[in-house]
Amino acid sequence: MESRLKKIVSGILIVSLLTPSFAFADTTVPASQEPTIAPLNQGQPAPWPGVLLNAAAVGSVKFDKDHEKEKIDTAVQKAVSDVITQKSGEIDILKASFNSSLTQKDALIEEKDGQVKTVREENEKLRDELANAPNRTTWFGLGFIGGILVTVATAFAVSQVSK
Amino acid sequence: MLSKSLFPYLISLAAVAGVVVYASNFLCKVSHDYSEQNRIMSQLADERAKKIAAALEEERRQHAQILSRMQLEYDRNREEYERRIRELEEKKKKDVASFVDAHSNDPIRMAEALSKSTGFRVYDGK
Repeated sequence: MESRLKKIVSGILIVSLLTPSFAFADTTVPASQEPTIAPLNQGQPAPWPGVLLNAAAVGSVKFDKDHEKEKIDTAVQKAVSDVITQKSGEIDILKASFNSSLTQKDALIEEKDGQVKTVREENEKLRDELANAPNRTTWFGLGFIGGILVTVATAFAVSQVSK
Repeated sequence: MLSKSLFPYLISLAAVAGVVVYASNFLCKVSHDYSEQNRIMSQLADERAKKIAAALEEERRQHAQILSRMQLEYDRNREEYERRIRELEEKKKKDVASFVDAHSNDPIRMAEALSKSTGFRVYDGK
């Protein structure tokens, strides 16, 4: 009977030693489960270990929380304005470059037009001269007569010298 | 006075002289036309170069103007942002001071106010 009792007691002791103690911890402390605020008067014991904020800190946290959207909106608005400025500037720069390219291209086309016009005029002139060619006989005749005069004069001079 | 045997030579020389005079007249005309054409071409090229230089200068001026305007807008955006943040900080100082005045001796109302802003539960002993 005594040995049986000893066995039962030792069994209970073994089981109690092997069973983890946290399994029986108090589950009423909410700090680790959901965000909770405990209002405390001075000297009052805290229900769990944590951080005690004074009124200024609470006011500051409350203000930041209440105005976080406004703060984010301000930052977003600045970022958007910066992007708009950058993109509209880039568009204006591209427009200016495009207009400049158009002007340069126009100048080039104008030059080429002028060249074509000049060459055409020259061609027309040459064609007219070739078609009319009135001066050929005149200049040839003048050259012929001039040549006779020069030759006769030369021959006369040579004959005079040889006498 | 002149020997008759010289006549064929004289005729030949006269013909050669005629050809030379005609050819020189033709070459003078061609040369004149060519130089006139060159003058017009070079004038056209000069005008084109001037127009392109003016266009490039105008483009450079506009780019500088745009970049300067962009810088002004960036500065204005930053100033506006800083102004709003500064206003918010000033408002925060005032609000915190009035919060401290109103709630410093009332932890329950303080906790409720914080709970309302953060959504945290107010501990009621459970």
